[in-house]
Amino acid sequence: MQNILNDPMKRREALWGYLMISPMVIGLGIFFYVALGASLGISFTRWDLLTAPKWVGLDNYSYLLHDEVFRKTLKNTIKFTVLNVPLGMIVSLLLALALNTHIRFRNVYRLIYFLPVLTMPVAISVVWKWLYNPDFGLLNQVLREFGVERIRWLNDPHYAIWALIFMSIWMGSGYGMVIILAGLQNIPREYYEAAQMDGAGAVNRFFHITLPLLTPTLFFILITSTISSLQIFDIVYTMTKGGPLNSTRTIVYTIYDDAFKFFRMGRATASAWVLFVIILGITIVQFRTQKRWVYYE
Amino acid sequence: MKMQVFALALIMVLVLSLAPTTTTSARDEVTITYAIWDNNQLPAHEQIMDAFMEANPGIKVDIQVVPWGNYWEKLQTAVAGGEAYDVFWMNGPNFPVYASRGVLMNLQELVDAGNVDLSVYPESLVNLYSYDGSLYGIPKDFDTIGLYYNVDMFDDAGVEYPTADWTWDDLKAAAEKLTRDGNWGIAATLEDQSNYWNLIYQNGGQVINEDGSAVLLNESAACDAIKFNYSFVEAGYSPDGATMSSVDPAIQLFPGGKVAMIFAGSWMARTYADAEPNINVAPLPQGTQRATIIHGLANVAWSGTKHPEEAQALVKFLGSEEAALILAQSGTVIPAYEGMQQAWVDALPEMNLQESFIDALEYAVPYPTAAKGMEWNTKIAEVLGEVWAGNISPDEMCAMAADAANEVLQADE
Repeated sequence: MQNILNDPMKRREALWGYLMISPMVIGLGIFFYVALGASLGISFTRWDLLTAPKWVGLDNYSYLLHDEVFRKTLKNTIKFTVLNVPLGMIVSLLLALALNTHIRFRNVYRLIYFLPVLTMPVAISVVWKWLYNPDFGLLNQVLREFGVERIRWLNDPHYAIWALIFMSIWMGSGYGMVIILAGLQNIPREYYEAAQMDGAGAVNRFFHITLPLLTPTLFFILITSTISSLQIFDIVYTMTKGGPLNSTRTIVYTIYDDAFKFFRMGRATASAWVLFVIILGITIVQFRTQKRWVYYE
Repeated sequence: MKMQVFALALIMVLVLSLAPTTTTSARDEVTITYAIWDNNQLPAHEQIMDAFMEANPGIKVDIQVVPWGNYWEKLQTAVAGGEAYDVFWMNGPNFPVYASRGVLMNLQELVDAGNVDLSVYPESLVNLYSYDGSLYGIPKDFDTIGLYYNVDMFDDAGVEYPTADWTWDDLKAAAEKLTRDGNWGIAATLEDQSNYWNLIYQNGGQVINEDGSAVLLNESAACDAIKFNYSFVEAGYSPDGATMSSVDPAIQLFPGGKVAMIFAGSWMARTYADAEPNINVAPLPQGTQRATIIHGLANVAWSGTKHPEEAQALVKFLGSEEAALILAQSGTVIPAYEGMQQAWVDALPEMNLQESFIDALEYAVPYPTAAKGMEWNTKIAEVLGEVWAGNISPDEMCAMAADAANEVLQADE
């Protein structure tokens, strides 16, 4: 390594390398790392965007620590993630397994299940708001046939978060499905043939070949969907605005409220940093524990 | 070596193309931006801009419609980024926030120089847009609230149309009779300005104290008014919060023929005139007294504009009789300019606009504002929203709403 500078050929190569990545590095530097640093700075201030920021030290953080609503927000975000991620993965896995068989119109089904991923979340929310409407909604109309009383899906604190989770799984499972399908295609045929020769049934083949060899794929989905669930915002904003009784208020929604409705940029960036630390922590734990259950070929 | 020069040049081009492009317009033409939030008023404003640009060659105006839902966040971030609109709409509750922070251009000079005659605008609106003895906004329009009703539904139910003599009891009785066939008699919405604030003043109550430092919803006159509004939901004469939060009562339920009556502002007259059902309007019913909330928008200029003279010229023109006449004839809003109300009334002859909105000026109550922006009001809306959705009992709602709002007003920023 140390003689890179002495070898003119290598030096030129390195120089070219840096030159080629410079647009990306400069872009990322300005729009990501500088912004990241600035947000940490802002989190120690009180700033309404209109007048100059005022330094307040750790005030914003200590406020969050003592704020009941913020604690509830944290709880909601974790609850959403803990339910949404595994349920979503199971649905994705089942869809992928079903659509990996040789059924008719397989590609049409794959397309249908993937379509919600391509649709704007806001457009989806508008439709689901109607589905969930207590008086005109399709869901309650069907339930009424079975004698179920009017359920206020998005306005009852017992149901609201489940309504969001259900919708979120519907929206996102197509994405997981496509990735798992790719993972399934990567599993060599020979393993199944060998297992079949040894007399392994379908169930055994699934649990001893398919599932272990899918773990790297599942691990990838686990990481990405955990992060995106912890950052859930759009469906909360369009469906419930954090209500009823703050039962669907999530961290990113609170950040939005603070920053762009009440213009407390300091408190908003402080919340963002709390979320960042949580995501970082959870991701590190997930990476550390992967050795126990993720098998690489 | 040649390759390197070529590659470097290529990178330079790439980098430069990423840099913001500065538009150098020919012939010294200046382009200024004008932000509005109501798409219904866009055609009228395009006409006004044509007239302005004809009278002021060399100035081009770019109208930007920013939807109400994110108007304020866009404005605030634009101000912070040093790229705000040169001229834009302002409303009463936000005005103190922006004026006190030096965002708005002081227009008092224009008044003192005799360029703007304030006597043609309602005094309450001039006061609304003055701060520390200086004018910062030129009144654009005003609005009052009326009782819109679906004529067909009244006919079907055999109920007599609302009149100026209606009381709260008449409203209640009509709502009961009109609640039939899966439809509701009224939408008892949680809109403050266009709904329950009016009831509070009609009952002799107050929303907020004189200097805007404490909310008074917990006092009995105000609280009874809110309870009266809730009684429609309780009795089933109005859809509840669960229904109204997913289907907008003013935009969907009422013009869609699911609800027979609604309190709404004069700015909705055009929309309802164009709606499918036959809709007319009457003055608000009276409680212990008559009251309707008056509010109005103003045109303001940004203090950081690069083209202060052009921005001033536009603000001035927007406040002119010529602009007011175009606005009035579009039938969208009532211009603030004196004498222009008749043109607005004439634009929609099929509706009872004169009595409902213009004669209502006699008993109109100014829009209540606090010195501290709008968060207090959001807190009230949150509490009442839970009551309307059935999650909090209505017994304690006035105290809870007042406490939540006062906490915000008393917090030191």
